[in-house]
Amino acid sequence: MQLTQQGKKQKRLRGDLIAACFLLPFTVLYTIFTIYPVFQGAYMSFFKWNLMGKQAFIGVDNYVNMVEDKYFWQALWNTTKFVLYSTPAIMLSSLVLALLANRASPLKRLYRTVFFLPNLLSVAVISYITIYMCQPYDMGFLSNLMHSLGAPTEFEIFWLKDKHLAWVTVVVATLWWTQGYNMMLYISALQDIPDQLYEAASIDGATPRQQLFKITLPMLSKTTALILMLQIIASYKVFQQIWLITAGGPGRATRPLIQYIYEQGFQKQKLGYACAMSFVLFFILIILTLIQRKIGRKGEEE
Amino acid sequence: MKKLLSLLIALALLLGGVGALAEDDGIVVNEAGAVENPEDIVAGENELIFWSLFSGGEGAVMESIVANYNATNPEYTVRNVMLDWGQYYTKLTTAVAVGKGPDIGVSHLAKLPELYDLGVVTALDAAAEAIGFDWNMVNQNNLAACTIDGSIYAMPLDTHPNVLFYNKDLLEGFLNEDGTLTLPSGAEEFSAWLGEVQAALPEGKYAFSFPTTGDDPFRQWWSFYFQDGGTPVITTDLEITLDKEKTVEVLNYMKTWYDNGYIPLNLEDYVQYFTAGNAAIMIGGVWNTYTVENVEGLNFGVTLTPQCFGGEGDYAIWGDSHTLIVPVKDSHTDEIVQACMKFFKYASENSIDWATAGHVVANVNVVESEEYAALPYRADYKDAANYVVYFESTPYSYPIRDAMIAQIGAFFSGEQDAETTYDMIVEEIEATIS
Repeated sequence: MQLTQQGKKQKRLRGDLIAACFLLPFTVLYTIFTIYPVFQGAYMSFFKWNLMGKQAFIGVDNYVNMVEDKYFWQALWNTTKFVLYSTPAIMLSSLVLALLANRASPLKRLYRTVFFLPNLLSVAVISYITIYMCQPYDMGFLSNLMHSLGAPTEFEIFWLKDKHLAWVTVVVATLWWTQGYNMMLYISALQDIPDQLYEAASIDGATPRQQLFKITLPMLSKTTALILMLQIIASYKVFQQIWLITAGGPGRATRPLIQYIYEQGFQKQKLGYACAMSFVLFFILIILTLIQRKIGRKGEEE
Repeated sequence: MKKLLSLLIALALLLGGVGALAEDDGIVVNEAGAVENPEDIVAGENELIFWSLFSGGEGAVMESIVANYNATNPEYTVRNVMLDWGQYYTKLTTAVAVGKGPDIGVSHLAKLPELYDLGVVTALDAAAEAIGFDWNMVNQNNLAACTIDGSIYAMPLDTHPNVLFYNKDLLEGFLNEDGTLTLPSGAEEFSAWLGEVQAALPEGKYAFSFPTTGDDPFRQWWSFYFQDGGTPVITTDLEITLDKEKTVEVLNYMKTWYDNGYIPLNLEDYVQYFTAGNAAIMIGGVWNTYTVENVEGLNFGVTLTPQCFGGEGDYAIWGDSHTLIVPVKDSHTDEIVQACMKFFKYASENSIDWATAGHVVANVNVVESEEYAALPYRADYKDAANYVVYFESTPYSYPIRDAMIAQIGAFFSGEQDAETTYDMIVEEIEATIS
């Protein structure tokens, strides 16, 4: 009896050791490249710090300045705006595409590939394509298309220079780029819905419309909650495509928080201040992640 | 399904992986030819490492200047390492901070006071004297801007001002007998001239190719503001002395060019628009000369930008300058700084090739030489260097410039009026220097 228990214990210990061996390389790298910089960043946020190194300890001055800095609030609001615009748009479009690509059709595979393909492109490529599409005076695709469809030559839409249209451009570009991933998540969830439910519904005379609203959408609710949270978190980290497409313009109208952090840190040499702002963003993301985990757990319990 | 997904993921990884290629010695070069880890390059014996930010035509010319210098068998040879321009200053500053900087670097004049403030640059006076470098052979307007607190921290290589390019075919009837262009002086006169050109052009063509946002509207505003007798944006004592009345006057004047339809609004690639023959004139940096002259069949000329404000002697233009610097490094002995200075001397005296990239070289002997006079287009704007107004020497020129570009861009895009633009600029400058 005792022997077997000891054996069990030994076995478990061996298992743990093997697991540790597998986990170690990742843990070491993760510590060096993620955990350590988090603490270093927290440390730096209490200093005046430029690219040459530490300058002076200034306590919480960076945080006080942040609260008083209207450009910080403007940038945070711009990021929030992006979240508010892009999240519903991306969720809706990826759901529609998933429903489309999940229909029994010989083109099913083609649909999935085509919708997913932009996801493989790098941010530089999608940004360049967007800028090309939006050029006025027949130098871009949209302007050309508009004029060949009969719009008067002097009529132009400035997709990148109007502060409202610039948001439309950035959101649509992001949508086209990232929706394929969410579509894949939806497709896998759609395939988990048992066919019997639809069969039973058909027998009972439910229309396809009723099936969509009474079966498909409720069955997808868990996935929807997951995508919602992932999307909000991802959108709060927006930087690259805005930087490449509008560079935060016109004026400062589309400048997101990360761009402001980057500018303060690397263009204005205020690395301590940049760290303090990064911490605020980090805090926002942690709260969102906790909410997401809570929702995820609730889903599992059900 | 799973197969498809894994295939897509594999493809994604593959596409991501071809970005940079490492050579045998561990030096990573990106697809544009820029070295990504220049700090890992080990200098050979008696070799100076030179981090350059030049690419394309400029890069090739600099490479040949270095090669020619090495062919003279100097005591210390120079190794030219090309870096990505977008990250150049960040890389340079951080490398110097950890003692891995190069022996020779490049700085724009507007950036120099910031590098000085960070303690990145070495004073060159003693080394110049030791090797007999005559500062009188470089443009004095440039040299004054390289001098901080009484010491010279950089050797000016060139000046790159904005100039005016014109399409001779579209301006038929507006040119002198020898095919050159003489622009009228004065704000109203120049606008009236643009109006006449616009009226004479066929439909769909514009008098003027110029962007609405970005560097260039800011640069043209800068030229006019200083012609108008504007006070510095910010003094060396960090006092904001940007003149509201003149800022607003010049902005509103330039806006009429767009409002009257001489410039197509929100043009993105104005150089391409001009070279495609869609506009009669274009204002842009001298480095565009290289691009424009390589367009087949384009019959063009280059001249100085117009004087729209002030009287005689008030002419001013925007410009910046490439300079050579010696970044601070513990291992730098007097001998090494002198060796760097010898290379600077050679580069300056032999900068006739540098002019092919379009720049006005800073060496006055070269500019006044017969060889230079024979260079097409370059000789037409060689005087430009004397009229360039630089930022006052503060560590904030670059961030202030960025703020002004953003706000002036928002003005010409129609997002805010000129008074608001002024206020926003001042607010941003205040936030920057606080």
